Parts: sequence; C-alpha cells; structure tokens
Amino acid sequence: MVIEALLVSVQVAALAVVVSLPVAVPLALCLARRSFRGKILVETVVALPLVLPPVVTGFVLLMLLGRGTLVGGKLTEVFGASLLFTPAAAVLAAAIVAFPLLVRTLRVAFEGVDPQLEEAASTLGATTWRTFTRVTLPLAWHGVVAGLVLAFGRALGEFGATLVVAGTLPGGRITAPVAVYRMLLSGDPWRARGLVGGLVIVALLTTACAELLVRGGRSRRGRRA
Amino acid sequence: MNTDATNTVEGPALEVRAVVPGRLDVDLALGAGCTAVVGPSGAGKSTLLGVIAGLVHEARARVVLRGRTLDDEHGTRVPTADRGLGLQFQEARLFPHLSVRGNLAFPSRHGGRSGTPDPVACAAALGIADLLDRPAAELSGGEARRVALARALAAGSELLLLDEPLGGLDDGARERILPWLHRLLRAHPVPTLMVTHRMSEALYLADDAVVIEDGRVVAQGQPFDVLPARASVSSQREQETENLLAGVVGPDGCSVRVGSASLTVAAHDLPVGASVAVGLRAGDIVVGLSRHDDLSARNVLDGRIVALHPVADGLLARVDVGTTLLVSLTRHAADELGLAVGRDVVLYLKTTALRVSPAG
Repeated sequence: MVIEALLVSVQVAALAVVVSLPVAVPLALCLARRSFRGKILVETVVALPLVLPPVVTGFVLLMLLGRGTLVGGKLTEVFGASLLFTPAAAVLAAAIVAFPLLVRTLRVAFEGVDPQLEEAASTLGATTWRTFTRVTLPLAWHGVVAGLVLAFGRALGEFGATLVVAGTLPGGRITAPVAVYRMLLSGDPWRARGLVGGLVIVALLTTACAELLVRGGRSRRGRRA
Repeated sequence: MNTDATNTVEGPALEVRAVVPGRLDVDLALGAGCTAVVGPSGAGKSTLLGVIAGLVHEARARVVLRGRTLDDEHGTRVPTADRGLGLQFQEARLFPHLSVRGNLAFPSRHGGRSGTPDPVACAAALGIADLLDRPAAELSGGEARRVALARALAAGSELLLLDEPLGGLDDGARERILPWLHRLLRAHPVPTLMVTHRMSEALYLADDAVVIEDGRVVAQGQPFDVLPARASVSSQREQETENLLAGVVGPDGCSVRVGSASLTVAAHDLPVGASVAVGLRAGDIVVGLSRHDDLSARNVLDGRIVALHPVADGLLARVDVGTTLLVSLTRHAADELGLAVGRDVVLYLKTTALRVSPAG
C-alpha cells in the first residue's frame, strides 16, 4: 500500500514534468527572448494555476473532462472512456499545477544566458536547435535543473486538483498525498507514518539528484570564472 | 536579374544596400579582396557587419554575395547560420562553458564548412596554442580576442567580417600577426570586411577602403588614396605605427629588402631569407631635399612625393621609394622645404626607428 502509493505518485509527477517540457521549454524561451503583443496576457494565464487554489483547478478540469461536457464528451469518444479518475487525469492535474513553476524557472534560466552568445553560435553555422542544445541549455543548466526539481516537487505534492479528478484510480490505486489524507481521516493518523516517511525520502532523493545533475553539468563544462 | 549561383563574371563580390533607420544608410559594391571599413566610433561600422550577417532585424537590406542573394526586398532572408560567415564581433563572445579547443571546433562541428583554415594552426600562429585546453572563461581579454579571431577565420567559408580583429593587442603582437593574416587571406581568398581604427592595418591588409560617418559612406577607394586624408582614422591618442612593410632579411643579416629598397636594421637573431615585418612611424622619418653624408641615419632613400594629405596636426606625405612610405610633417616644415606632389625628396631613417618582427 505504502510502496504502491509512492510509486503512483512518483510516476504521475515524473510524467507530468515530462509531458510539460515540450510546451514549457519553447514557451519559456519565447517569454525570455521575445516581446510580442499580448505577452502580459500569456504570462498571466501561465501563472494562474500558481495562484488559484488547486481545488478550483480541479473543478475546472472536472467540468472540462466530464462525460456530459463538450470537451469531455469529445475526449470520451476518442478514448472510448472518460478520462476522469484515470492516471491521465492525475498526470494532467499535476502537470497543470506544476506548469507555472516550470515555465518561470526555465524562463529565468534562459534569461541568464547572453543572447549575444546565441547570435555568435548562429554566425558559426549552428541551427536554432543546435544553438539551443549546445549553447543555451548548457549555460542555463543550473536553472533548468532547478525548474525540473521544483516542478517535480510540486507535482509530487499535488493534492487538491488530484482529489477532485483522480481521487481514486482504476484498481483502487491512489496517489501518496491522497492516501495520507485518507489515513488521517481513518481515525488512526499514526497509520500515515510509513507513507509520510516515504515521501520525505523521495523528496531528499530528488534534491540530491538535482545537486548531482548540476555538478555533472558544471564539471563537464569546466569551472566558470 | 542574376540568379546564377556561380557568378564568374568580373563584378562586385559583395553588394550591400542597407537601411537601418537612424543608424545606417549605405549602398556598397565591394571586391573579392579585403575591404577596410573605417570611421569614427558609432558611425555604423559594426551595424553594417551585423546587417550583412543577417543579425539586424530592423534592417531593410539587399545583400548579394557572389551572385547569391542573402537578403532582398522581396522577403528573402538566408538564415545567419547558412551564410558561410566568419564574424568576429567587437567583443570576443567565446562560449564560456567550452574550452578554447571547443570554441575553435564549434564551426566545423555545427556548420560543416570546408575550405577554411585549420583553427588549431591559426591558434598556433596567433600564439594561443598553449591555451587550447583552458576553459574559455579563464582567458584574459587579449587571449580571448585571438581565440575569437581564429574561430571566425575557421568559420568563414564564404565571407569574413572582422570587427577590429587585432584590437586590444600590443604592437609587437600586431606586427607579428598582420603578415600572417595577410598571407592567410591570400591563401583562403574570401571577401573580407575589416573594421579598423588603425591606418597601418588598413594599409597593410586591405585592397579597398570604405569610410563611414554618421551611417553613410563618405569615401571609398584605394586605402592609400582614402585613408591618410581621414584624420579620424589615425587616433592621435594611440601610438600608431603607420608604416608596416613586408620584407625579407638580406644576405648580410643586418639589412632587410623591402620591394626594391634595402634598409639597414638593428641587430636581430632572424635567419637570412626570413620573412619579416618592418614597423616604422611616420613621425620618425626625416625629409630632405638632397643627400647629406654627415648624418647619423644609416638609411637614406631617394623618393618622390606621390600625395600630400592634410591631417589634424600637419601633413601626411606619401612618398614612393620603391615601396610607399607615409611621412608626417608639420605644415611649417613642408612650406619651408617647398614640398609638393611630384617633388623629389630624400628620406632619412634611423636604424633604431625600424622595428623588425618575424612575419607570422
């Protein structure tokens, strides 16, 4: 029960970060490098889940994904079943609440890279993609890792929205925070000690991994003066 | 309209028509050799290079390189990465997360360009061979500039844009590197634009010169015709060595042949037949009307004044002595001697005024 809930949570959080990246990275780059009409609007919408109570996000998702709603109806047609109370819904909820943290941290990381260096890379024949992978990403590495850790941590701890749209998953599986909540309500809060300890260990491992990732990136590119 | 990519017809190698509101408005046709771009700070020289590189987004430009349209008014805009450029920026712009070697290898890894000089050989000639494994972030300013120059040279398969390539280097280093750069540009001939503040660099390297002031071209022509007249070219604050001559150490070891002239130089340890650069300041040359035997100067050269250019604090004379020397004079002296274009003169050069350095 403890291990299963932890596994579900780690998987859901990791997937939430992974599915967010293809959107978050270009968006963060765009916000860091360009100015365009409506930029403030985009920034506001991106930041919204950070400010909104997660339960509200859950409510909006419930309304969107429910069988009787327009979007939810279409999705049900496509997938053959409602997404509500599936792992997909848990990932979606976690991704949405973690997204603002990911985009903000990535944006700050990319803003710290001198655009003149990207310009230099382009004069040396590097395509946009190569410039990103060989110049921008290594130079922003520290901040990128920080963004991944923050987003993963936020996704791991997601409770409010998850409870609404994925409180129970098929096979009776539940995410760790939801499991903790249920144990607390069961009349014997001490039952939650194993899971709470497990979550602390996962959090410790996450920050340790982040430190290793940052150091790895640093030694690969030498010490920066 | 010429759409043929391989334009073999004699014509400008590079055509640039560029307008950047408030900064630049030029229409240039440049040859296949090296063009010096000179002018006061803020005149738009670096902007011109940026436009040709496709980096100035607000520019309205038409750029045609050897028949290949890079930019035009119909929306053609070849990406910077595909222009075959070697651009040395005013700042070094090295990648701080890479070693010197990684910086130098960047063009070949990412552009796949051929026919360019070997960056490691360039590094050796530029005196930075010892630094190859150092992180780029740990270099001094002068070292970083040399790495940036080597990197740009290694990237420029179609076009070289050099913004003060030897800026920040001391005279000795400049005089060693200039002849090497000269030979390199001959061995790998690509159209080259070189922004410089130093007349000697322009005279030594360039086949053509363009003077830009307030974003506009105010003069274009042979460097010797265009540059000495621009007092702003030769910054009075810097100790400029106006004359830099390519020569060969003569058979007796203490003379250097420069064109048809032979100069006696101070003792050095270079072998007979070695290529050298001889630096000589325009102000260190004495002008006379006839030969005198009772002077200490060991070099006495007969010549003729080809041109006289007024500069801020006097006159700059171009004297043909088998090679061309720039000689600075006060107006007073020039008047007293009755100097004019076409006049035969004798030049006296002290041996100690001639600085000999190995070429490359």
